[in-house]
Amino acid sequence: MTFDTEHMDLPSDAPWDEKPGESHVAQGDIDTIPEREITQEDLSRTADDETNWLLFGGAYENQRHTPAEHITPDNVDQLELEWRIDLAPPQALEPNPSHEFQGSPLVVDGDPPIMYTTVGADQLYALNARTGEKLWEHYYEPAVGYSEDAPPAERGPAVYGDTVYKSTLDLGVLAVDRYTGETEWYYNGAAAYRGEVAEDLIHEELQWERERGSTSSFPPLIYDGTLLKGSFGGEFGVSGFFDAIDLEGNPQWRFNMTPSEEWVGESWRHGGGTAWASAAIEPESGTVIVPSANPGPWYGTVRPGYNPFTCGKVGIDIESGEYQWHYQDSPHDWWDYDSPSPPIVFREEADGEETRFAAWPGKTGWVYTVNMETGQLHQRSEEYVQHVNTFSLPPYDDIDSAEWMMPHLTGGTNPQPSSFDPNTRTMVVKGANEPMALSWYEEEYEAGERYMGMDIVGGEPPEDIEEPDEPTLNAEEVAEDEDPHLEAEVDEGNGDDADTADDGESTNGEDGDASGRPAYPPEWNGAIGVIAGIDPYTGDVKWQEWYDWSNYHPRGGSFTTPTGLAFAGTPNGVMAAYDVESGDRLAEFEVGDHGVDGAPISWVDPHEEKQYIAMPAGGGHHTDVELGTTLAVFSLEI
Amino acid sequence: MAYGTAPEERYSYGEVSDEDRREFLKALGVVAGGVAGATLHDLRGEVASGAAGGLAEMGEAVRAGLTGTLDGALLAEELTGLEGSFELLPQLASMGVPEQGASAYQELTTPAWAINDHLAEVGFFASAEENLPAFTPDHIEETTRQLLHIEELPATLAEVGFAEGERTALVTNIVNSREQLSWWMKTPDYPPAEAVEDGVVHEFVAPLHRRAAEGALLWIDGLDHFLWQNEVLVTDEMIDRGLWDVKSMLGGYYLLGSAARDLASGEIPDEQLSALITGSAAIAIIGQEFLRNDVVHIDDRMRAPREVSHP
Repeated sequence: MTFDTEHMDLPSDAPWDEKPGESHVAQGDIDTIPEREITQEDLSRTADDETNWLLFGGAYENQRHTPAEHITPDNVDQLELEWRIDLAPPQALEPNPSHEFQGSPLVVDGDPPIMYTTVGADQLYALNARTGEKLWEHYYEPAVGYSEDAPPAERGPAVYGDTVYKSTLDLGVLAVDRYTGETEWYYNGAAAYRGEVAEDLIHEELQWERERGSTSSFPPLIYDGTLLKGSFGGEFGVSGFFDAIDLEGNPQWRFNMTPSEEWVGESWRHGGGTAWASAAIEPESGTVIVPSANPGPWYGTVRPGYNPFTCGKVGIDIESGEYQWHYQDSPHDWWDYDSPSPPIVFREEADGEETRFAAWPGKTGWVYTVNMETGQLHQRSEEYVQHVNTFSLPPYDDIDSAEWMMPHLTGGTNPQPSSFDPNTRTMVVKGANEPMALSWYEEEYEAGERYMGMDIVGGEPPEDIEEPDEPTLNAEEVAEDEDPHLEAEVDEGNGDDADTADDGESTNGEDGDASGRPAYPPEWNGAIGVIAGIDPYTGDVKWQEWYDWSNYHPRGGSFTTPTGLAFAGTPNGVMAAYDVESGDRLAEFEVGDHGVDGAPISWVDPHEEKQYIAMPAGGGHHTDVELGTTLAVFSLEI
Repeated sequence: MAYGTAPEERYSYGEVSDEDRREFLKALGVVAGGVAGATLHDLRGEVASGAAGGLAEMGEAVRAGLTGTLDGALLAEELTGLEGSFELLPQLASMGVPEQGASAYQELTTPAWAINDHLAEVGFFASAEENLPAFTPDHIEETTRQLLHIEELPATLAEVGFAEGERTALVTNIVNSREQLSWWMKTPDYPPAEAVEDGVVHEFVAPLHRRAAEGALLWIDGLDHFLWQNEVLVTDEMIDRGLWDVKSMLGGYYLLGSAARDLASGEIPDEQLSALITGSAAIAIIGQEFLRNDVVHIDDRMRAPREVSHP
């Protein structure tokens, strides 16, 4: 099997530069924005420059590791709230609490520093990073429309020169003047599909109402004059692609994420394998490492074989667009165990030689670490979430017979970006730990319609268990008792039901549901999710902070410091500071009355003599807590 | 665990247990007496040939439905090549995990790909799907009865190195994995195409027997890369089991190619043609489903112990 590169045709007569949607721009005090031309060197050096955060992952290697050393374990509790705003919506939209953060802002250094950030759907903002003042907003009204109830999440912009770039729900890229918010150009990524020119501006097979869960925005990534951009729509039967365009919006190459020679017949054409989550770049070799999504349809009998390059990572040479390597977390997937979590790149000595590795947590609940040069697996970590009946096939059209399995299709780790501390070699990973039962059924494909083919049920604790007072569980509690909170609560509140709960049976005297399946698998520890510290080289799980079933699982990202700290949002409305090596929670800071689902960043403002932390916080749409699009910034005088 | 999702409970790796043999016979309506002997001949003695359930008419229709002419010489030549692939299997067992860039597994399938391309070209797969039922319980039962009563079957399988127990396992696995087989449908039986412009789905989904056959080849081809890439997870047991799955798939392909060769020369009864197409596709499907289970989807219970090396 050769895994040759397959580039899709880019017909010159396609409307690549035509914008199908409409832009709404509103301006405030734009004169505040200092002129600052961002160069390639600035992007390459941002990991070493404490005054800015110019790339999604804090560097091409995605380590989310600030070089700023001012916040330490000794003074972390002195961080103060600098400002907090509810960012969305833009003026052109009615208030809608469903919009949310899942991304990461950028900060361009200057006096004042300027923050650029996105919110779903297709909203881009420029803020004074010192005050939170909105300087301009650019709302792109996508031609495809989107669900008001569950608008798609945004993952962030890119900056270069005097321009800020964002991907759009129309599968395009919008280039915007950083100082005014006005459109410079638009790249229409839907102008052609599989080499076929769109009859209108958007190819009909790429047209459906966008919604959260099936649609997302890949944060553009700029490297050496090339802007890299992904695709989405695996649940709508598309074949994934990955684009390179130049910085004037002209297409350069389009990489086919479902190489036709490795799929039976024409099944690749609806094979999924989209690239909707953020990539990393290994600068030495000029390789972009692209996360890939699930194959379509979800049931595998129409697409025998490994279904490359789905559910894993693909290394592509940026200059040529040539295939380098790929790794699949779940070849021939049936469970939606795709691999959206952004990879990190790190160096370590292996067999006496300095070696470059890419590492990422999968929805499968392990961290995969591969050799960057070859793509060979160096290590798969210990499990950081639980595994029950993992990889067992879902039955056909018979959800009642489906057994519990773990991880859930939300992970392990979904698009949550990890961070890495090179000093302690600790990767900070967030994960879900929920049971699910699946059954598949055939589903017809129709352009623009959902193409999933699965019935899904989730496991839940019995209704009569009271929520515990303390939402988190530490590793010792979990280690001491396989089922600590479930059993403890049943013991206290329900007397004789304790044994049945321990066995995973329903505590209400009846089966969990009509299937006869218990309410949850007996192996489940009762935790809904986890934040973990993992050594990606050895695969050791160093620490775990479990979240009880009364929470939603931790989403969003984290960042680390050279002083041994990690900062991460939690489902409980707070940002927590951890000792990155031990996982001890050293401090916590109230952000909002909702989940903290964004990825935090940090920068230093030398004019103010402060180190700042920005924590985007939204989401909570899966919980009973308030929704919101809060952006909170904390600071410490230096 | 639902039966279809845990078929390994009744799957035989080259040796059929008494329980699996009893389950096989029970599915074919043989419930009296003790456990039959372990050979295909023994099972044949227990299982009546039945009325062949229209297999002859189906086979005739498959033959009539070809859109091109089968090239008997090409098929015979490639089958000879495929016989050579079986001889390579012991080397793969001793090789273990392939080196980077190796193609030992991929080389096994070269003759089969030539057969595959030819069969696709003459409309063999399309005609098979058009004229044969999918893996319904009745069709599996009729096919299995017919397979047991094909006089030459044991010798054909023996020619390519299937020992007596392995020959039995190939056939019993068809019946004992019938629920998983039923999940593989004829392309038109997946949702109707009326609502789809230009019949998109049915054009993009290959005919059932081609999915079975070509899928098996893709799985085998990918093993060089997969085993090398995942060396830190791979165990000897996984390789051993995988080699049985590979041998099964190649065995299925050999039966398919042999049936096509005999069809080209007009030397195969129609009922045998039907049974061999269905049976070989079933063997190819079962082999790839179990390769997935045995080698590709590796959980922590299966994986090689994690070696922790600190730099």
